[in-house]
Amino acid sequence: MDAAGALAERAPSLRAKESRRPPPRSVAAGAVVVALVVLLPTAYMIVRASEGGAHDFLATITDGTTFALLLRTLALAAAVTAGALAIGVPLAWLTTRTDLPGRRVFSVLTALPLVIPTYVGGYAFVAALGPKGLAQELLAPLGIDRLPEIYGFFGAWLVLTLFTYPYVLLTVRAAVRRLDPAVEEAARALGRSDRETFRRIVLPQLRPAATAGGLLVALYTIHDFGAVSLLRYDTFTRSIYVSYQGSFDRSRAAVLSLVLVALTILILAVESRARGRAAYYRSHAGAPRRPRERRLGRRRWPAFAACSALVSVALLLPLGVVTYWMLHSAREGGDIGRTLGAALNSFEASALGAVLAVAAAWPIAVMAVRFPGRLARATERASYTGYALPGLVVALALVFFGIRAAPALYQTLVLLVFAYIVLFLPQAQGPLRASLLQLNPALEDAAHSLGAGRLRTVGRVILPLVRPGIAAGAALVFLTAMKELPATLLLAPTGFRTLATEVWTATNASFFDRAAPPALAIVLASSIPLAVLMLRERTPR
Amino acid sequence: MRTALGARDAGTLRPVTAHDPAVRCVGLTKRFGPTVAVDDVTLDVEPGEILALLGPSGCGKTTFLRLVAGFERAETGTIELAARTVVGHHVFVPPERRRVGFVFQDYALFPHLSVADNVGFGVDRRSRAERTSLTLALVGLGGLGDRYPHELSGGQQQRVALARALAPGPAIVLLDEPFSNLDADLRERVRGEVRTILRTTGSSTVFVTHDQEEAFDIADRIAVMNEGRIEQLGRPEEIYHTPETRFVADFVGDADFLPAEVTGAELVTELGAYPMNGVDVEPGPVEIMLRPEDIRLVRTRDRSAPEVVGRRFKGVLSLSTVRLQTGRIVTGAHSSQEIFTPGERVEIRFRPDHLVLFRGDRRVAWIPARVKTGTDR
Repeated sequence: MDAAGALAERAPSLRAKESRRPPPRSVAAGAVVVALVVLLPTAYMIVRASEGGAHDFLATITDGTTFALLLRTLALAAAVTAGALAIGVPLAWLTTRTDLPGRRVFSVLTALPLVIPTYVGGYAFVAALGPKGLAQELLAPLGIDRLPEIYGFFGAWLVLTLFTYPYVLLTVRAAVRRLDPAVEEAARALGRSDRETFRRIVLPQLRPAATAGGLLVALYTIHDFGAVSLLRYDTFTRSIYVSYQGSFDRSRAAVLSLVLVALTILILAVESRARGRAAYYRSHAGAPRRPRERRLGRRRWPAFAACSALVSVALLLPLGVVTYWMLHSAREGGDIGRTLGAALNSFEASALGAVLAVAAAWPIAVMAVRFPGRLARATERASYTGYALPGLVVALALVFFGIRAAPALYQTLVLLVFAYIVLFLPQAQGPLRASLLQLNPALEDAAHSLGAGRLRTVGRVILPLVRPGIAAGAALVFLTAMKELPATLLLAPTGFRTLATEVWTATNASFFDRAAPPALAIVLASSIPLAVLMLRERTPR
Repeated sequence: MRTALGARDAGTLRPVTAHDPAVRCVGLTKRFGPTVAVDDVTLDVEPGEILALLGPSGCGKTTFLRLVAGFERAETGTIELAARTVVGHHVFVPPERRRVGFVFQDYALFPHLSVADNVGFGVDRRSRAERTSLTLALVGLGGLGDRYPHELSGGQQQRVALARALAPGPAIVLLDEPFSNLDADLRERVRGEVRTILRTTGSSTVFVTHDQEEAFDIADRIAVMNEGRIEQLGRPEEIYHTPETRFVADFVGDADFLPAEVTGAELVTELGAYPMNGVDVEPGPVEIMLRPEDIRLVRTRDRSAPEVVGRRFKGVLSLSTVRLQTGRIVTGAHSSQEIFTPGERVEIRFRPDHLVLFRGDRRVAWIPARVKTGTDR
């Protein structure tokens, strides 16, 4: 799940009228095939989990440790969500509607932690505060050798909160920007005070966005593998991975995966209801005037201090730590060839994934935009499976599938790229769909009426016009795949090291200097989509 | 140009005669779910003729146009374009092989192609350059071939759309609400230009509009559509003066309806009695159509005379609404320099050129004027 992708999916879906014309058979067939392919891992996981028989299945589910795991996972998700809301909502307001000093700079800086994957964040905190870490190295000469424990609930909570609050920030900020200032003025004209207006008019209008952003964070937390595994807090994902590694009990991993998927579906169901209500609150597009800027008064500088502290911890600290270990590694004559090799491997797998994910997204997007109907809705829903499935679960399903059904593919790039397609199809589809929606259907009719057949129409009219969407989708998948961890960890052929797996294995082995160069490369790569997104937000169009 | 049709065409060919219509539709029907968008429409478009499809929104006129172009498939009925069956029993020629020129409501210019590439899109490679410059010159955009659509004004885009449709030498030109995206002041000028271009090229044309003024201005004949059916097909003056249905009378121009009684040789109305002039109508109640220009208003001091209740300034003339003694409202037209104020009393001089009688929804008779002697208007 990636920031830009997640936000793109938040765009209101334009429900077109039922299609008048049936779709071309090739398009419909393509969409159905892609949908089936995407559903394969889930189906296989169900088969695998039920193989142990109903007894084993029930035994695992009703197991006391499973219940404890559920509680631990939910506790973390709840705490992270609360933390993200506590940071994200006030920050959204501060950076859009107040006279906060340095508001413009903060509005960019506070969104940036989004580019730091949680396992890189986890690495940064372990490398800073963990045993053999930066703090210990600096403080040891002073005789301090005990630091607060970074491993466990607190560390996982801190890292996940600091690197997921931007989901709340960005959704709520979009809602703040959509607020119609006239509504607030109406409340003032009707005799409400400034404070009352904020409490009774503004906050209720932001609640749906906050709910949606919060649920996104909850979803992210229960799916997260990188931070919880590096900070050694047992949630479903870590436990599934451990069960899988201790390979004698793979059924347990399968059953736990299904429980995790069920949990995901629950959250998504709540989320889609929250989103439905959000539409109700939305004011009409094109806010007429600039809203009034609120004066913070005495609270102005405390607010500034809080924002600075946040940026320090969530952005400067991880970047600083990475830079420190980077220099450390350079001093020690670190192995640059190793990082380069990993980068090339990442590039290869991600590029393959990007091209194939866009190709797979094409028939689904065409069906959804041009031929809406039952079939289009079904294939589109199926294509969102990857959005709902944790990368670890998809990877595990493909491992089972590879070993049992396709041994020739197991331990090859094919399965890894397959996982990327399943996981990132929504990312590819978002921009494709958006650019197809912008395409006036009359252009196709026009081309036909001028004697152009289907091939020439696609080649001369449609493709040139949706090229930006294709490029954006491919770039998004490419950059998301670059930083994907769990699926890469499980499915990469033996010896196939990527940037993400390098960071993870090196951190686990406390080789903090070895993890720094790939971590920096990942942060740079994942900055690109956010930079594009922010530039687009800025340029009037 | 008819020989240009390839052997791959699914359409059947028979010898073309000079009298073959450009479009011949028979019994055309198209449903969308439960609604019948086009209901058993039969229509011929003569070669070189400009035909307007006039009707309120949702009456099926655009769907009809899309059926002719091949963008929609009809359930039943046949379409022939220049004597070639393109829709019929087991025949459906796709739009790209119908040789229709379609001008879309929003123009649908290819945004990534220059004006010249847009216009040349439908022309085969050999004659592309020549046809493009010729057509661009025809629509008065000679120097603008290198521009892109977004660099043009609305009126210019309109002409590019028309040029693109005309460049391949289509058998029929179809225009879907072609002027609705233009500003009011521009609309009339572009309308004139388009008519001139279509006349110059001798194109057989069908265009769709909900604006009667537009239809009157451009069309040789008008087909008034309502709820998927053609209510009346005729020259503009026929449509206006002798509407066949109440819907046409009401939709085209201003009309009031006044109850009347046919009693043998006379027609008795609130405004007086008129001879039937030998027209045979079954005695009984009817309604007569009153156009504003049929009614003259003359000021009077008689307080029991009809009262002026409203007026509308239309520029060339003004319309004043008057409440008759029975409470019915009629409208009279007069010079806009004459001003009737609400509350004033007027005498009504009803001197129709002719009378149109309706019974129910349909016209039952048309009575020519008393004074004229049997000649056409």
